[in-house]
Amino acid sequence: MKSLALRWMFPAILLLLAFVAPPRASAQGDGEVLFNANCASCHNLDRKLTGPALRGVVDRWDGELGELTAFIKNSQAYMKAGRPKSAYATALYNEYNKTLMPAQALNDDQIGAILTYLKDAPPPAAAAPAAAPGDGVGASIPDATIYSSFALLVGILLLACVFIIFAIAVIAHAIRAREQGIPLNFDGFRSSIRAFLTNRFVATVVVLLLVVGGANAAYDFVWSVGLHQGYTPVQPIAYSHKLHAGELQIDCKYCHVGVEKGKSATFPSVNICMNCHNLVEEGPKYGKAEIAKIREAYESGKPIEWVRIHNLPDFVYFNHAQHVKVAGLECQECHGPVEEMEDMYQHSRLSMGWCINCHRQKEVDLNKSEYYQATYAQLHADMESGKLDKVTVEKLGGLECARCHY
Amino acid sequence: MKRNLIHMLLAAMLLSTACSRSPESTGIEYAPQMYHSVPLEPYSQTDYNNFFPDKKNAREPVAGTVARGKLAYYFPYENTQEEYDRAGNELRNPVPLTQANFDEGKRLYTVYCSHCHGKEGKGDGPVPKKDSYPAVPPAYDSDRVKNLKEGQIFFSIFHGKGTMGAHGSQIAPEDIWKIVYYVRKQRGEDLKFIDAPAQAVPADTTAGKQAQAPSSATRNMAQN
Repeated sequence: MKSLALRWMFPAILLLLAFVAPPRASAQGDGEVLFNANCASCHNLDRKLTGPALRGVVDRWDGELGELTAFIKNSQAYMKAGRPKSAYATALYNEYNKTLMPAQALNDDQIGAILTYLKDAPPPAAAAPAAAPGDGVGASIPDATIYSSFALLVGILLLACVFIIFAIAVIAHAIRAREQGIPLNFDGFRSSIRAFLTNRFVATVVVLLLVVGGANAAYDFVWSVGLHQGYTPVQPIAYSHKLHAGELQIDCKYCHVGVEKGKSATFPSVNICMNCHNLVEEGPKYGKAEIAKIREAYESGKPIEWVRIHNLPDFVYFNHAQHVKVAGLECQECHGPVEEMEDMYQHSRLSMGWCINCHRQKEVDLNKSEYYQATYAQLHADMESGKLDKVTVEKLGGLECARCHY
Repeated sequence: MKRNLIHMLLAAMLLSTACSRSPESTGIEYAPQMYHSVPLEPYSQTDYNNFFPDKKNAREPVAGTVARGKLAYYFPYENTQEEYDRAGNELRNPVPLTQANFDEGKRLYTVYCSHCHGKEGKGDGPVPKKDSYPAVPPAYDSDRVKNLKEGQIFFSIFHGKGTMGAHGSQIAPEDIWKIVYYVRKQRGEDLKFIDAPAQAVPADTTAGKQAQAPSSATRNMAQN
C-alpha cells in the first residue's frame, strides 16, 4: 500500500505543479513591463504626450520592423543615415517640437516584445460617459435642502414639546379637578391653565429659562461677530482637496509653496496646476468642465479669482513660516482635516482666545535652535534647576500684545 | 409687565436664531474698516488694483531683468536639448553634502516629488497609478536616469522634462540641489558625507566626477 502511494506521488505532484505553477510571463506581459519602464514617461498608447501615441505605430512604419527597431535604438543616427524612413522620422522630429527621442538601450527581442504589446494591447475600456457639467452639482446635496430638512427637524421637536406640555397640563387639570371639585370641561381647563401660568414658581422658572437661553444665544451671537468659522465660499473652480491631498497624496506644500518661506502660504499659480493638468484633462466628478477653466486661465494669462477663506483682521499679524518651519506644526492642526474636505472651509475659530490658548499650551524645545540657547539663558537655568517643568510659547513672550498687534 | 418681558425675550431668541448665517457668508463684522487693509495686501480681495490696466496687484518682473537678491533664481540655461547637455557638463552641486542637507533633500523630495516618482523613486507614486494620468515616470535606477549628470537632474527639475512640468517656480535652487542628492542616493549611488558644513564649495563631493571649478552660474546658485 505504502509503495503504491509512493509510486504515484511523484507524477501526481508533477501534474499538480503543471496546473498550479504560473506560466512563464508571456511576450505580451514582457512587452507591457518594458513599455512602462522605458517608453511610458513620454508615450501613451492612445494619447499624444511628449511623443506620439504608439498604437498602430508598426502600420505607420509600413510594417518595416527593422527600420523601426533601428530608429528606436538611436533616432538621431537613424535620421542622418538616409535610410528608407529617414524622411518620415525627421518629419516626426519636427512635428514634436524637435524633441529628440533618447537612444534606447534595448535589444531586438525586447523591442520586438514592446511592438507586440503595442499591437495586441487591449483597446481602452469604453470610457464611462463623463458627467455633464451640471450632473456633479446635482449629486451633492444642495445647501437649501440641508437647511429645510434642519428646519423640519426643529419644527417636529417644537411640536413634540408643545404636545408634551399640553398633555402635562391636561393631567394636572384632571388632578386639580378631582381635588377641588372643578368641572372637567373646557372652561375648567382654561382656569387651570391660567392658575398654572400665574403660579409664581412656574412663572419664575419660565422667565429664568428664557433669560438663560436668551443670554446664551446673545453670547453666541456676539462671539460670532468677526469670526468666520465654517465659512465655505463657492470657488471659481470646483477644486477638491479630498481628491488631491487625500487620494493622490500630494503634499500641501507642493502647491502652497510659500508656507515655509513667508507670511502667506500662497495660492498656487496656474503653472503649478499645469504640472499635472497639461496631461490630465478630465476629472472624476465634473469631467472636462472644471479642468478646462485652468487651461483657459493658463492660455489667456488671466488669473483665477479664488475666494480667500482664512481672513485675519488687518490688525493681526500672522506668519505661516514661523508656525510651520520654526514651530513645526502640521497644517491640519489649524486647518483641520483638509485631506477629507470636498469643499474647503474654515475649520478653526481663528479668534484671539484660540491663538492664546495654543500659545499657553504648546511646548517649545529650547535646544532646537542656537538663537533660543543664547536668548533664553534664564529659562534654560530654570529648566535645569527644576523650577520649570516645561517651556511654552507663552514663556518666550507669546502672549505679548505687540507680538501680533503692531 | 411680566408678560411683555417674556414676549420680548422670546422675540430676541427667535431673532438671534434667524440671524445664523449660511456657510457662504462671512457673517457680521464689527467696524469692517478695521478688518480690511486699505493698501492692497497680497491675496486679499477687497479691491482690484486700478492703477494697472490688468487690475492685478502682483507685478511680473520686467523681461530680461533679475531682481536684487534674486540672482540665485536666475538659471542661465534655455530649455533646449543642447542646453540640457551643457548644464550637465558645466553644473556641479554647490550645496555641501552633509547629513543635514541630505535629510532636508529627502524631506523636500517627499513634498515635491514622491506623489509621482514614488517614495523610493521607482516611478510608482499615487498620481501615475491613477488611470486618468497617462504617463509613467522612469525609475531612478533605470538606464535612462542612472547615468544622468547632476546638472541634468537639476535642469530636469527646473525646466521639466518630457511630460514632467517645470518646478523652478516652486522650489528654490538650493533646495533643488538638495533633492538632487536624494535622487542620486535612490538610483543606488554610495554618497560620501562630509562632516562640517563648509563655506566654500568642497573639492570632492561628487565622488570623483568633479573635473573643473564651478562656473559663475554655479556660484550664483550657491549664493542663495
